[in-house]
Amino acid sequence: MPERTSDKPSDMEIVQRVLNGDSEAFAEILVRYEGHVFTVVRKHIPRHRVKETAQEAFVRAYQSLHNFHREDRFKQWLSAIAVRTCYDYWRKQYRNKETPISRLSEKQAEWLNHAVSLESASDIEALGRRREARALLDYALARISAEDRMVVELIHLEGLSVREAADLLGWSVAKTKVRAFRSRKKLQKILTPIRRD
Amino acid sequence: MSRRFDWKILKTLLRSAYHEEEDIPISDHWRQQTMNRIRGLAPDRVRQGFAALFEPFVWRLVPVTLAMILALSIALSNFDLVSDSEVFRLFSYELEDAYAFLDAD
Repeated sequence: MPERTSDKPSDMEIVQRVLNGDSEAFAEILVRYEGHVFTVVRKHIPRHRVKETAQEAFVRAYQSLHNFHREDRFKQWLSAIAVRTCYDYWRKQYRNKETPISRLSEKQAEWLNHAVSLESASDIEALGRRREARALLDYALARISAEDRMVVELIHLEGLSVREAADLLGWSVAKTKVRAFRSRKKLQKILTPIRRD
Repeated sequence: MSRRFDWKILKTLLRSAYHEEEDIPISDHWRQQTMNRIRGLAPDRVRQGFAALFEPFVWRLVPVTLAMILALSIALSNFDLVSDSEVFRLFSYELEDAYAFLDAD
């Protein structure tokens, strides 16, 4: 996405105005990128905490504006801040042990057994019960660390490349690759015993 | 149950569940709240503190500092580091020896 559209000021111009003391100019950034930040945050955070986390991401962006460089693309820079805010949210939740360890209901376990027995992608469409899939996903993600959770979500669920995920998280490519491999193994391990029930 | 664990199928299912999220409306109240928090923060350059004001001068002083370090190193290498008391003690031993020699005569 180009930074400048018609007669609107570019992102860099707004950033410069904010850095020169015009904090009201940040409202333009807020309006321009709120949709994007909400899209990023709502993928990683429970629905009832999305607004609060998105707000935190914008506050962090404001506080880090002096680190934004001309050659960077603002949207990417803001995405990285949003993803790291989500990561910090989960770190805090895990540290405070506030993540509810849900149990799978009989119905959900049954759904999983049925799901893994499907032969093709067209059967998946026929299954159609996404609520159980979401419950299963929440169940598995609650049992891995915040680091693994972010890697699973970014690489295995969103389909980003290792490099893209590494850039967003601020990690090295090697670390992200190792995490991606280990987290997938952990996820498989968590889901396998349920499947055999 | 001896079913083949098909990670790809399960991943596809989990992916579709992951992407199926309802939109969250962004209200004016949320925007106002966010801007209020922004206004409540001090501008970033000021928040960096008093020391940041001197940052441009620090870099200008680097060549001067390096020149001073070099000059001091040369000066120190030319100085004799033996203290005055050591020199005095050396002379005092020689005087004692001389007096002892004279006394013996």
